[in-house]
Amino acid sequence: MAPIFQDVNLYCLLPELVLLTGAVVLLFVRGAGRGSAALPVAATTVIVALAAVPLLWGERAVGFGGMIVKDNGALLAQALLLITALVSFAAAADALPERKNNGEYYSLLLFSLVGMGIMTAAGDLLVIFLGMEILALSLYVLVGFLKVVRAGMEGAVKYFLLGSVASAVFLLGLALTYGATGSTQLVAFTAPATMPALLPAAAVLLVVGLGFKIAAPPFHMWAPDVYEGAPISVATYISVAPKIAAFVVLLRLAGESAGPGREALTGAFVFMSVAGMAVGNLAALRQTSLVRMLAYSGIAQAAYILIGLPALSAGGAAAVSFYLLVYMFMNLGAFASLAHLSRRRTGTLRIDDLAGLASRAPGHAFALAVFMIALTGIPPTGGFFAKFYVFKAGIQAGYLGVVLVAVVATVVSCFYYLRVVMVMYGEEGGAGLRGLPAGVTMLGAAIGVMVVMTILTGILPERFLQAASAAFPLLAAGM
Amino acid sequence: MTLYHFLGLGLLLFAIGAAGFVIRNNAVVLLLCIEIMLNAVNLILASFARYLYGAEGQIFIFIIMTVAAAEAAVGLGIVIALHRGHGTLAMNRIKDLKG
Repeated sequence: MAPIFQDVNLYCLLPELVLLTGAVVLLFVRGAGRGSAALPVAATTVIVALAAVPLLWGERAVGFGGMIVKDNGALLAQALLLITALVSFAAAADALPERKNNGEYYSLLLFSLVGMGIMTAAGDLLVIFLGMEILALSLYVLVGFLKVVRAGMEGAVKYFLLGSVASAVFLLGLALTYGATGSTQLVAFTAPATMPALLPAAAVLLVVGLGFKIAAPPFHMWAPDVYEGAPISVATYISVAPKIAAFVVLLRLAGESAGPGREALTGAFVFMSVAGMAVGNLAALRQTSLVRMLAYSGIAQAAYILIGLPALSAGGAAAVSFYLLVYMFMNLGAFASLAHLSRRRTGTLRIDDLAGLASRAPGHAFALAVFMIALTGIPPTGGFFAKFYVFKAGIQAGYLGVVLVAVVATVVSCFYYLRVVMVMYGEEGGAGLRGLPAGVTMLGAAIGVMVVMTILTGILPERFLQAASAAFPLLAAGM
Repeated sequence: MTLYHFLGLGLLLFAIGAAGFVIRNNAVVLLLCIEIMLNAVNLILASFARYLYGAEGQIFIFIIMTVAAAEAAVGLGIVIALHRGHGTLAMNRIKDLKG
């Protein structure tokens, strides 16, 4: 028998190993996880992991007998995830109270990054499941991290219960895939199946289970409650990072599927997309709280991205990854602005509280306005081109009906996104915003970078689109 | 006894767990429903492994059991913290968040 170690190849998990080391140091090394030392240690870990990404770029490192495939798509996703984590660190430095066990917070966040790294690089459904659970178990705890906040515990328990059911649904899909093909490898979807009748059901269950992570119907109900209850830095992170990871997995699933499973998969994507646009936009219209509005807007944004998945052959893969890139900049920016405005205040920030922000903090109002305009999809921001490419791919692949729904949904979304801008610039005398931090803060700098990138992706969309499609060459060409 | 008997039992158990999750109200009972669903999946994997494909599927069960144990540990911790904060486990009485 050949020794099994030959195909392990730990090198392909280099960023994950760095993150794991950092997380363990934060947990167990005396001094590292205490007080003010925790944040620099965690940030250094993430930056070192980020530096490991270019090392692996273009190598397509394969390990664990093909269960981990670190291709450029996985690395691009990982870079986005690590940047998201850095921004959420900047928000956490403001939002978390000065306590002794902040090391646990950063340690859990690093563990969730490990989970997502495994998810995005997995070549096997079981490994995807393990990555999902490492991610989910860390996030359940993070949502309820401030135990004294009642709303936080409520958010955590809702997130945990729905998330566990979603994992069970995903597992049932995994079991049926195994029953149909005798294997849980992603490539097995294209192989001839022993029991092909099970494949459509398996595909739908897998997608619905993953849909929890991107807050797509039927598992979308948690999003507003969790975003409102969780510490704002965690909400910032949850609104972006798990969605990127889950969309990369969905891209792989859609790219590997064929035959009866493919039709069922397309049906599931179309249903989740249309339902998400309807639920997200209609519910966002009647929100008074800014964070709940952003939560429903996130549901709608994920629904727009879903249009690109059945249209992989028509450039959907590049469109989806470009949208994810832009979504990261604009949504991260919006949540970071929210974190900046609501630092350590009790109670939620209402949209009406923003009145007169333009005259009191013009720079800040401008940043939030840019993010709102980008989320609506108005040029010259990246949000316009993100939507344009996804809709174009959808039309070319023959999903005109879905794209029409999406266009109507975009028009509806103008009302609630632009209302924020109108309140900031048109009205005076909001009561809720005393004591904004003055001077340059870490979070303020992060918001500035997000503004620049949101506009830059709108000015040079072709550059970013080419980079995105280069990261997923197999998906773009092989369909 | 054929493969379809075991598959039917597994799917039935999964449906019972899912129905219980929708109907019941107590957070601990919801945890139990999730465990039923996970074990239904284990049964399905075991029957596929026994009748069609060999031992690989039975190894999956160990992995799933490990994850389920970790999930139960985190879940019970959250439920205890919830009970300390709210004094109840009835999900319909825990609703500070809405909009």
